[in-house]
Amino acid sequence: MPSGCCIRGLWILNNQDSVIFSRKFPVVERRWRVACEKESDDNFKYHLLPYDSELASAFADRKKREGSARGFGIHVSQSVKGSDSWVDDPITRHVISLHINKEEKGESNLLWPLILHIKGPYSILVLPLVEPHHLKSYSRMCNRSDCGSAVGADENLSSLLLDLPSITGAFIVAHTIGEIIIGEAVESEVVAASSPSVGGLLDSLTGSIGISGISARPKPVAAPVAASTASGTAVSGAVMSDAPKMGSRPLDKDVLRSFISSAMPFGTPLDLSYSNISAIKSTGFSSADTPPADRKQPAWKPYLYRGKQRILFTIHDTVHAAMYDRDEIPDSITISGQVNCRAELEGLPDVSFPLTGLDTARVQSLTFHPCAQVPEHGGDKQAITFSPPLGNFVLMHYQALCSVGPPIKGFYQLSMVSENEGAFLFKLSLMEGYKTPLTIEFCAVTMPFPRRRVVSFDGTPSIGTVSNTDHSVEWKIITNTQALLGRALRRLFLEQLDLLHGKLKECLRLDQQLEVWLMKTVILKLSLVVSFKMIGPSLSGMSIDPKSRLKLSGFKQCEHEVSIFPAVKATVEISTQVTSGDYILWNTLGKCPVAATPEA
Amino acid sequence: MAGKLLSPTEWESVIDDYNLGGAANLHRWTGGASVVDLCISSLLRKDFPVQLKLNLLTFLEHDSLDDSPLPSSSLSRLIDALRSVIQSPSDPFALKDQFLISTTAIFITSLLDNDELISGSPLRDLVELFLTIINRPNHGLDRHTRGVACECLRQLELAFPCLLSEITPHLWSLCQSERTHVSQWYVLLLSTTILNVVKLKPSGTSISSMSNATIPLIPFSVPQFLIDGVGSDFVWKEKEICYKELRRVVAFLLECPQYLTPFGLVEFMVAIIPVAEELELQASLMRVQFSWLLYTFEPLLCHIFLGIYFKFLDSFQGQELEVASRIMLLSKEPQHHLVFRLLGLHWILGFFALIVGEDEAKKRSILDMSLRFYPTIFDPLAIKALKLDLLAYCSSLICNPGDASGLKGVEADKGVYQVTLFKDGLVSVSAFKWLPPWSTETAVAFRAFHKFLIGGSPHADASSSSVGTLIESDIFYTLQKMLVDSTSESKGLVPVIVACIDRLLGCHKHHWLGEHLLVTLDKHLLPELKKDYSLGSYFPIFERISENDKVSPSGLLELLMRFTIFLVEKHGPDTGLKSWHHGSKILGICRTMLIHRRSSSLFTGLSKLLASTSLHFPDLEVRDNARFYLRMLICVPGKKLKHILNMGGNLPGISPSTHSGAFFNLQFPRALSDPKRSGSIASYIHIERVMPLLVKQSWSLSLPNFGINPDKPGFFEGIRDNESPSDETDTDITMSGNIISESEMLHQQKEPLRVMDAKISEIVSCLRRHFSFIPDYRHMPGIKITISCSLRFDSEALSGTRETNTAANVFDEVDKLPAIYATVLKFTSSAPYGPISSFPIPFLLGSPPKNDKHVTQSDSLAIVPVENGHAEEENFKAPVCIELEPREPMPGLVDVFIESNAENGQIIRGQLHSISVGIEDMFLRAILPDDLAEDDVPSYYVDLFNALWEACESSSSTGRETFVLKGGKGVSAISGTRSVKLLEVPLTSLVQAVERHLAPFVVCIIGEQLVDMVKARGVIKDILWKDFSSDSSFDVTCSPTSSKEPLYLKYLGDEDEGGVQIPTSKKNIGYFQILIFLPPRFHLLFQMELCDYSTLVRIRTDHWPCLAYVDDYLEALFLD
Repeated sequence: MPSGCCIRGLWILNNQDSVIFSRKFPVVERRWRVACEKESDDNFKYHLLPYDSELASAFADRKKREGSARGFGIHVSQSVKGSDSWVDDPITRHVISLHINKEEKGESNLLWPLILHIKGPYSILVLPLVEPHHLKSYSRMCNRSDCGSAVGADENLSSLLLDLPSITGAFIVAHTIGEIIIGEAVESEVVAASSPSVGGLLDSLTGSIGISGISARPKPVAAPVAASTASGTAVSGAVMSDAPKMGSRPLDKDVLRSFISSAMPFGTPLDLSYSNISAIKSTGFSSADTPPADRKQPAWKPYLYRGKQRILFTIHDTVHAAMYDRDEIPDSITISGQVNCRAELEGLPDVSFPLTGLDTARVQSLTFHPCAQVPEHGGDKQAITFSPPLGNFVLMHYQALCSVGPPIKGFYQLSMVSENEGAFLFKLSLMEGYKTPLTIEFCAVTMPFPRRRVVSFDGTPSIGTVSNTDHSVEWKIITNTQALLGRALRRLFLEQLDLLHGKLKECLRLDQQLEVWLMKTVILKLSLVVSFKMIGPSLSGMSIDPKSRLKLSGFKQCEHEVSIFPAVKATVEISTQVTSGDYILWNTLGKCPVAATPEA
Repeated sequence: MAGKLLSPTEWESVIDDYNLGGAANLHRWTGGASVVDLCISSLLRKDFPVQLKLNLLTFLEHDSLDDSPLPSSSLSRLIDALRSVIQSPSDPFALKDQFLISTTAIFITSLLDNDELISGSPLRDLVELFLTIINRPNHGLDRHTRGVACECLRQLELAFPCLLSEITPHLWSLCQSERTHVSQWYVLLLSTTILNVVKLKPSGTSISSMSNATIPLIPFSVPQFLIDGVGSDFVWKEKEICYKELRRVVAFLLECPQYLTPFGLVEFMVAIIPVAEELELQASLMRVQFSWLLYTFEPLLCHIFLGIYFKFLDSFQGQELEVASRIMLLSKEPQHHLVFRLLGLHWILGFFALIVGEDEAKKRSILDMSLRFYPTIFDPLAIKALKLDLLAYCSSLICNPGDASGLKGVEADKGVYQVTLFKDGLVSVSAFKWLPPWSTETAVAFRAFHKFLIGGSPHADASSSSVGTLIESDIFYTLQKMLVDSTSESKGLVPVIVACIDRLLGCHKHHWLGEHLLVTLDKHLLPELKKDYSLGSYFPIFERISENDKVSPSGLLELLMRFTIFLVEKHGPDTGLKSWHHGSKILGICRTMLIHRRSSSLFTGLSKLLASTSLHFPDLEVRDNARFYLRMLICVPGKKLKHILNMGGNLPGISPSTHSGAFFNLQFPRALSDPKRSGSIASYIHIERVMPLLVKQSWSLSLPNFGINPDKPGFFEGIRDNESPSDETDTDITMSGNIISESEMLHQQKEPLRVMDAKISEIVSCLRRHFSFIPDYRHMPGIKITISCSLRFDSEALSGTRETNTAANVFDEVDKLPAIYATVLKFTSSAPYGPISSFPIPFLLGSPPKNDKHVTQSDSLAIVPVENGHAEEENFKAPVCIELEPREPMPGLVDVFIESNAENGQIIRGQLHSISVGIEDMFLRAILPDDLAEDDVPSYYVDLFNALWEACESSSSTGRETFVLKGGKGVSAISGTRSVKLLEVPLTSLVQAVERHLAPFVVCIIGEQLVDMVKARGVIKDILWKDFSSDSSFDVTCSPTSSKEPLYLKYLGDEDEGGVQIPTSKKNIGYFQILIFLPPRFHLLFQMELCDYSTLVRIRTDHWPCLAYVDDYLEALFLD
């Protein structure tokens, strides 16, 4: 471990490319200067950190050169030698370099690695401390004259990134700051469902590289879920979410300043928990806050809970499906999920519970909160012990295959009968083959037309209501919570639809080009997006042993139930919910993205 | 403390100014006072808001970065202020914390720049203050401040290693007793201190025992070795007890990670790993302690684990796969922000690179994982790109030499396996086939393509042995096929493919790959393409093919030929622009070929293409340009041609295809004429007549112009009393009142009512016929004479000191010679020669010095093709034709001006030596009527001669006749003059001279002896031969001289006028009759009476001024 994670400076720019907040850390900078002076040569010497104006103009320059704030990311024909995209790696959209031009000296000073995190209207730049040879190596890479590095053989970014935990740390810092300035850093609700968006379909249509999500995809709006913690990508804008958005509350510099001075007083981050820090700042400590007598209080739990004791678990499955209804392309259905927890327990207890349904053929990954202790291997059942922090937290994440059939099956066909008019047909069956009782809170189907405007449509659904917005047609199949007791629903929905490409004039030039292209290849009629939420058994099969659950009321200390040590009297509540993530039915008559499935 | 105190708002402006532009902006606020002092006094004021004070502290920190180190006095004042704030009960903790932090930061930056201060009291005071604060473990209210103080101390310890080494035992006991959440800070402080102790091994008795503190915590004193600065002499006391105690401390510390925050853990690991190494702790212990990190979903913790992993690689032996697959999970979990998933993939790549080495087993295990690297449908594109990288990595592992036969799934054929990886991987971005070519999917697909392509031969790999195997490999075959297929399916991809190939071509290592791809495209794509307008999209590829020497041009030329044929066939009223567009593009390719290839390899195909284009292509410009290129291909030697065509090639954005004809436009704008040079231009650029003049004419007869119209040759107006201008005649006729149409009027003019005998009317009709074919230069292009000249220039003049290696190969020599381009010669003359058109010379090589003599002697105008292998002097001079349209047959001078471009783009401008025009240049054969049969030509000329001879008799009855010129508007009359000249030259030399200079004009030879003699020599042909037998009758009937009198009488009579004594003893051998037409409409007639040693020339002309020149001419002709 050559170095930890230190930060030389950080800057926040608004969407006019001017610096609205900056912080430099002299102690870390001093270290960098010493290292530079040791390794300086003709091409390399120490430069002062840029002033705000210099940084802002360098950032604007890069934006101009690379097409957007993030840049191309990969080597394209517009790439310039010495720029990030010359390196030909998508991560250069996030780890950027800036060339600072000192006015008076006329020399250029390469600043790397700058962590770029775009949040709302703000661009956050964090400059972690690296060693001079890392910087030299990167400089060589972005100036290489050959055709680009071969994977794993030439000097490449991967080994640098592996060597630099400070970059990883700086990302976390950037994200935390992003949440603070946007005001998202509020504590999540109990069942905090971060419904993460995986995205990645046809980035060219939906935005730029790495920006996820089909445009105008509805979120499970009806879900009583508060804003999520990990919703870094959850906001799916209309189009081109690469560009920062306007309209957000003004940046609270004082909050930020005080957070930074607590979280990384000297540029070395030590604790980034905003909730803890703000609690300490606002309430401080009283003499009543006595430390536990027998054990140390963890740094991530500065306060201890006092009050009625209970513990809540939520198992939350998110289903991602790409359904084709074609013989040659298999459907792909995966579930990513998490177990949320809130432990309102006094003192510093350890909680352990058995987790079942961990059949290795189905469950592909399990990762845990750092407070959990995990036995190295396990079969179908695993006992998990953890020492819960305050408030809501995600105890674990998992990835699994669906244990039953997909909750919604069907096909979708749309064909354009003329340039502006289309006919579509789709057929869905809900919960086919589901035996266990479950409740559907809502279920809706959306036909997005990201770049065209829906003028009118005509048709009657067999159930529910249909409405249209400018860029989509939405069919709300189930609006009120309904219990479906294994009964399958079948729907037939046949309509005529008029489309008009309306808003084109306001689009960028690129969009117009794209539009023309799309008109030619007729792939507007992409897909049908299904969203739903249901309460019931998890599709992943993941569960906290139900048998134990019955016993919980008695708080018996047996092997297969939630147990708390030291033993206290607490209620345990477990709930399960399933929501849709990217749940897409592709138009059978159109083109669609696919991926090869290895024969595992 | 000079300077005023600043108000809160002023401070805010100061800080903003500072952040924006640095300390330079501060002076106007501080007025030169110390910023620190100003800040301190503001910080101590009670009326300032806390937030502003916090800002001030940050500002001070920032300022310490680029300010000179603070003096000791300022530091002391700072500590005093800090103390007062800390002890004040009213100040909030936030301010206290920040004050501690900022003071520490300022101290560190100031002290490090000024070593002498380390021993000073400020540092000691500061540390003492901190120690006082932290020395109250578990204390309630200010626990967070204690944590901050610990961190301050830790930073001091990091900046001044071993500063706290002597009080380590105290720190340990504090650490053990602290139980609140700030214990993390105590732990970090302790571990950092231990690290420095272990790393630097200070000599000193004080830390011989961890458990028993021998030195009190307070008062603190800076260790002596730090003051002395003898860091290198530290010697670790090899005391077993120290190790033992240290182990206990470390064991205690190793229990802590569960209580630390992730970032705290990072710092902790930074400190603890070197200590563990030094103490030779069992690596397995570390593994057990820290392997849980890998199972968390915190990316940072996973990264820390990787750090441990590489530190203790041996103890993790065999776990590579486990570790790799855990990291892989990071990239698969959708809840992570995209960047962490990308980082995960990067770590894997870096991880593989570190572990794999030459170990076959590890390679195998990586390949076993390859199925997990497949991109999934919902992966963001960035992830897909990196996963494709991983697959490419697997592919490169396979193709590396080594036994891969044991691999799962690879048994069959590793090549096939490789192909599967590529194909399956590419499926995930297969949307590039139907998305626009500028889409990111396309970019990612081609990125993957590139990675797979070069995977087998990375740049770092110096050996090129793999080239052959790579070309033959399945994967390479598949890649090529994919390329060809997708290109022929979608023409939109052409620019992308071209960019891809360009990228390879630009690489020193993979140049050959690019060339190979071009060969493949040439071989497989070109035949696939449809020969229709869609072919236009593929021109970027053709451009690359035509540039590259490795690809045979024949396929492309053939395709272009067929395309040309298509264009010609499809041409119609609507396709004009298209034809032009595509035609220009085709020519652009031709141009590229000319630039980049050896002419010899192209010659056949390209000349065929250009020739047929220049003949058949519907668009005029394309035809012209094709002709232009064709001529260049044929005439200009290879390297020069490349140079010419390359001119302006560096102008970006101008594609040669659209400006293919614009060679002349691409001059360098900076070019300017050099006045000094242009004056002397004639000294090195020479223009010369090909045929030197017989008469070095030094004068010309200039007659005053009385006419109003300067365009008209003046002297006829002045001297001749009537006639010729047709306008007058026309007016006359019109005024005569005859109402006749124009055509009838013309007819009328041919047959004026006049009394004449049969003979005269015969003469007149002959002359009418003749004059009706003489163009009237006032209404139509006149008769032109051509003066052939040649242009050359001395190479030394332009090449400067460059010397020509005469021993070198001829081609090389040629290539070294300078050249001038786009030369335009302009001519003016004071003589009445009409407008003279300028003459362009596209290209001219400088003549090598040694050839100077030959150039003037050579009279060959032939173009010598470059392919003949001999660079003769003709290569160094350009034929120039000066076309004159004389208004009057007279000698004169033609001034020559040159404008040209040198190779360096300089424009050469100036006047050359004038060209003199002699009377002989005016000599033309009489114009033949269109309807004349070839056999009748000799007799026509004889008839004409006789008619003119007669008409030029001063007393001729034809003297009042007017003859209508061609076009019918102008009329001319004949006003003859006679003259004689005796030439005393022997017969043979006279005949020779006539043959050499006047042969075309001889119309008749009379006399057997002469006829025999001339016939035998065979130079003069196709004329009328007459002997003396017919002579008598001839003399009587036809001889113009004897129309009234016997010949000899007349002859004698003439002698009187000439005053020449004729030796009667000489026998008359025969006559030459010579008819010369002088433009624009005059004639010169000779009748030569040849005797053995002298010849009498009778001269008649209808343009008497020419007699003056003729005399000189005849003398030069026969007497020299």
